[in-house]
Amino acid sequence: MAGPALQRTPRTPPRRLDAWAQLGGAVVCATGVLSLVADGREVSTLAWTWAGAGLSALAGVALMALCRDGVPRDAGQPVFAGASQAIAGSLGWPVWAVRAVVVALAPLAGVGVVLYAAGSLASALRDSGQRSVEIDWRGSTGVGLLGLAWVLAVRAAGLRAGSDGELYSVLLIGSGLPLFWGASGAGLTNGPDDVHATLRSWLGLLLAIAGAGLVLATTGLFHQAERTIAGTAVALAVLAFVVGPRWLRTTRLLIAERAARERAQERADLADHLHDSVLQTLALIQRRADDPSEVASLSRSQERELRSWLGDGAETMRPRSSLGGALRAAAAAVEDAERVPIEVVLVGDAPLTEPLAALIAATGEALTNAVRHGAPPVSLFCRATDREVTVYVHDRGAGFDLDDIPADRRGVRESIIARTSRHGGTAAIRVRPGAGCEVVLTMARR
Amino acid sequence: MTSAPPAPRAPRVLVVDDHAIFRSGVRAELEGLVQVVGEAGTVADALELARTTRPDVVLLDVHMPDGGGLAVLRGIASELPNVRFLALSVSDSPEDVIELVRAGARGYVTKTVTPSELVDAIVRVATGEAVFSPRLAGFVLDAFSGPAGAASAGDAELDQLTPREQEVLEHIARGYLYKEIAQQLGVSTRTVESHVSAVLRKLSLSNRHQLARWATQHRLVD
Repeated sequence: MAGPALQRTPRTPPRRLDAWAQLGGAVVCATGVLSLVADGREVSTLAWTWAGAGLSALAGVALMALCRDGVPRDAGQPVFAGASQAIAGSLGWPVWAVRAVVVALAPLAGVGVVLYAAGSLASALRDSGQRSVEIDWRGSTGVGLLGLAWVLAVRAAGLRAGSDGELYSVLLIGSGLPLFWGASGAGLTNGPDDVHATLRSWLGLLLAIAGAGLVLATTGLFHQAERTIAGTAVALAVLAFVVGPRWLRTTRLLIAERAARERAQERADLADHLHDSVLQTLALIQRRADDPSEVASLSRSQERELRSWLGDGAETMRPRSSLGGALRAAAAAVEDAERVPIEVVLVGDAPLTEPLAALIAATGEALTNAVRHGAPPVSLFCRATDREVTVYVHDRGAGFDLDDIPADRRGVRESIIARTSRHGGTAAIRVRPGAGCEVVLTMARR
Repeated sequence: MTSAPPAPRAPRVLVVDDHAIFRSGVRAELEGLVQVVGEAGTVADALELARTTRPDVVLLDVHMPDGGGLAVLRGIASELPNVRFLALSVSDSPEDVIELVRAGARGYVTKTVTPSELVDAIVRVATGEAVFSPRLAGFVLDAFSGPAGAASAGDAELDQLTPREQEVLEHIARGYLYKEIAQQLGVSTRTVESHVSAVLRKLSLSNRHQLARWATQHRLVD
């Protein structure tokens, strides 16, 4: 397999920190039991609180140890749902400072947790769905339980703000939503963390719903029929917060996936085309390597095709229905048939008319003559102005004298000269010793 | 690398092209005919090699990453004014070629040019001559054809080609050599060369409105 293998350290004995946390949990738990015993007749709320704190601390540490499996945590790995990192990133603070603020403010009517949830919401809204957060649901639950232990311990120590119902509903919703929002990839990617993401997502959803239920229960909205509308509004608000950011994220992910698919499709099309034409031509060229004119002709026609396919350059600049496009096509046809390259230079252009079509036909005949009887290089130059179109076909051959051409050879006389003059044009053949032979065709534009 | 020693006055050539296959092909063709002092595949390499080797002629690919031939030309020309440039391209796109010639390239040939034609073009560029391929002549005629735009603020003389200059360019486009053109027009070869140089100067100096927007218009004209 490609890529470096994941370095998995062998199972190490529980780390010292975990041992201390377990010890601490046991101490808290023991304190709770002791206070229970000491209280004797009735179970005090304080004792239950301490016992709950101890139990959740123990459960949290155990879950985290299970999740880590002896592997030390990466510095960049999120602890709960990754929101502290997002907040730290946008504020420019160190991550530990954000975490300290969140933890310190958590017991104060859940302010820290609300901050955390806000950070998570912001990052969920900003996220384009490309980033994959690798969080184990067990780790998140463990951290959550530790947090709960912390809140319980602080309350047991006598620091309280707001009612219990408010605090717990804020905590439940505030910790549930980031878990749910953060699990973006669930069901869309087929990564190994799919199970974890799904579990985390359900866990978060349950927490948020429980919190919402608690809000309704503690504010008494359940029991007052006339406030049903208010209750429904609360439920809808929670639902919007639960589903909204997640839906947004999923949509973005889908859009990104579609764009990637389209790019892949384009690449595949290009690869298909290159295979069909270019590779085939290259193969032909290799097989016909002993025939230079065949090789030249193959590569030249492939070049023309590729240029027109790429929609680039002079080949496609003029449509076939124009003088320039038709001249190019005529030159290409002669090139392909006679396997002699023709240098085509066009200045100006004109819409195709009947006289110009005759001019083009005559040009094709002149080009065929030039490549057959003349000598390369063969040039075709056409200049189109508002008044007239002039075509020059020039080759390096010795030229010919009209009088020397047998009367039965109709090429020059009929196909070039007569055809041009029938449409009101002129044709001239100039031979200059050493400078080759040139056919000049002129056609007035109406 | 074994090769016959080039002629004593053979121009020193730097080959700049981002395709290694093409560079080595050109080098093989030119060995012994001119002195290839180096080849560069990137803009940065080209600038560095031009400073150290001080070539007579830079054979310049029009299409290169990081700003292309234009970046190489501007970078070297500002430091080494005596270096001459011959643009070499597989592209037919007139706007790119015109842009390079406007920036100071002394000629333009397509990559399908034969080895002897290429050597001839290099030697001519090295002596300060302008090398117009038929295609470039066509591009330039096209760029200067039609009436000058009303918004043209430049020197009227720079905005137009003289009839003689047009005649010379047309003959180039028709596939004639300078000396043949001279014969046909009844002037000296030197006069033909000076006409071509004048066209080059007009091309780089003209702020003719039409020329600036020429490429776009060109695509729109049927």
